[in-house]
Amino acid sequence: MKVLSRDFTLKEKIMLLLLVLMLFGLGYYYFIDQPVRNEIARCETEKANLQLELDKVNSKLHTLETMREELENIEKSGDVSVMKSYNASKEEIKLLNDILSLTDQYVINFGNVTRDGDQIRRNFTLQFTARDFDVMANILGKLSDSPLRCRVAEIQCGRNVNYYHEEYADYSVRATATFFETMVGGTPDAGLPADKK
Amino acid sequence: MELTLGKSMKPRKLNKKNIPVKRSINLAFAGLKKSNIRLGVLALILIMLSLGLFSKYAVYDRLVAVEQARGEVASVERQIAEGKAAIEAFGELADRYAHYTYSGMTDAELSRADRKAVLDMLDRLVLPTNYVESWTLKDNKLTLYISGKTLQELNLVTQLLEQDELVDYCTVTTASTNETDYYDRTVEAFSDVTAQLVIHLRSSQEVHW
Repeated sequence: MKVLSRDFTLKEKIMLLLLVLMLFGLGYYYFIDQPVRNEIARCETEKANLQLELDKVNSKLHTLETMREELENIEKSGDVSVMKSYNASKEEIKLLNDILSLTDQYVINFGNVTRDGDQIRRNFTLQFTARDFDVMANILGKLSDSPLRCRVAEIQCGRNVNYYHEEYADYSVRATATFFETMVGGTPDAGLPADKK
Repeated sequence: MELTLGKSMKPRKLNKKNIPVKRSINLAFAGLKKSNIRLGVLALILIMLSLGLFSKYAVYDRLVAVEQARGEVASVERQIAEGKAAIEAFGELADRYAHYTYSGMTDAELSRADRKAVLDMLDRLVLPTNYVESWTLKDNKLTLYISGKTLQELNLVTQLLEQDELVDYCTVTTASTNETDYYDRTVEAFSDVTAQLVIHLRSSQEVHW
């Protein structure tokens, strides 16, 4: 190599070689290495954020799958009663009146409404007299199988004996039961208690 | 005149070392070093190999890593989009679930024996042959105040009840023989034996499964 009027000395050549390598290294660092590192880091950060979102989506999906399976099982069991949105007291009273029309006299006492998250419970006590066992069973059966979700907790039944006409003995019944409602789609009002949770 | 050859005139013995050898002299190449082609080729190969390895590992592989990272991001984005589409496909399921689920009910509420089935069992197994003065159903315990002609009759009822799928087990907690008084009849007067029969019921889940 003879650019000047003389050859480069070995020292100069080594210096030039080092210079070229340094420039090459700088070029590589700024135009390839750094952009690549930055892009990979950006992708990893974005992927981590997206992974969190994906976990949420998968979790929701899993929840919905579980819900669907549970609904299918409920449909299979045949115990399909609906929990109305709060406040469904009017529909519940109408249902009770319809069912208790089978008896001559009855007393309904509604207790306090309780709230546990979205679950609303409307407890009530029912007292009535049925002329025979079938009527009593019919009333309590209709209450248990009503389209509005209702669960009978306790039943106390006594037979009122007509000593001279045993076949005419009627039944005095006292039952405690609960109507279940949900806050999903419900409208809070003054009667809604604070959430226990 | 006779020439005498002196010692110095004697012909010298030929020695190859002393014979000058003619070498080609081309002044145009004077000062130029002879190039070593083999060394040059070797150096070229080494340089090419270094460049190739550098390009492979320091450039190509790095760019591939970037593409791979971008591909992973795109893959997660695609999975999110598919998941959201699947959630959309469920429609109003969550709302329907909220109105039909039993998940908000307590274990005690869920394990309660089916009241309608219990009344049916009473009608089938107890009432036709026995006089039931009163009964109480609380949680999964049915307590009957029952009268029968004999203890054997009560025992038979107990056996019948224990065979029913709703019943876990029965216990007779008290039993007494009544004295009949035809002129002053009481409820117990219709029978000879009265007992308190406690029937432990299976939970609704146990019965269904």
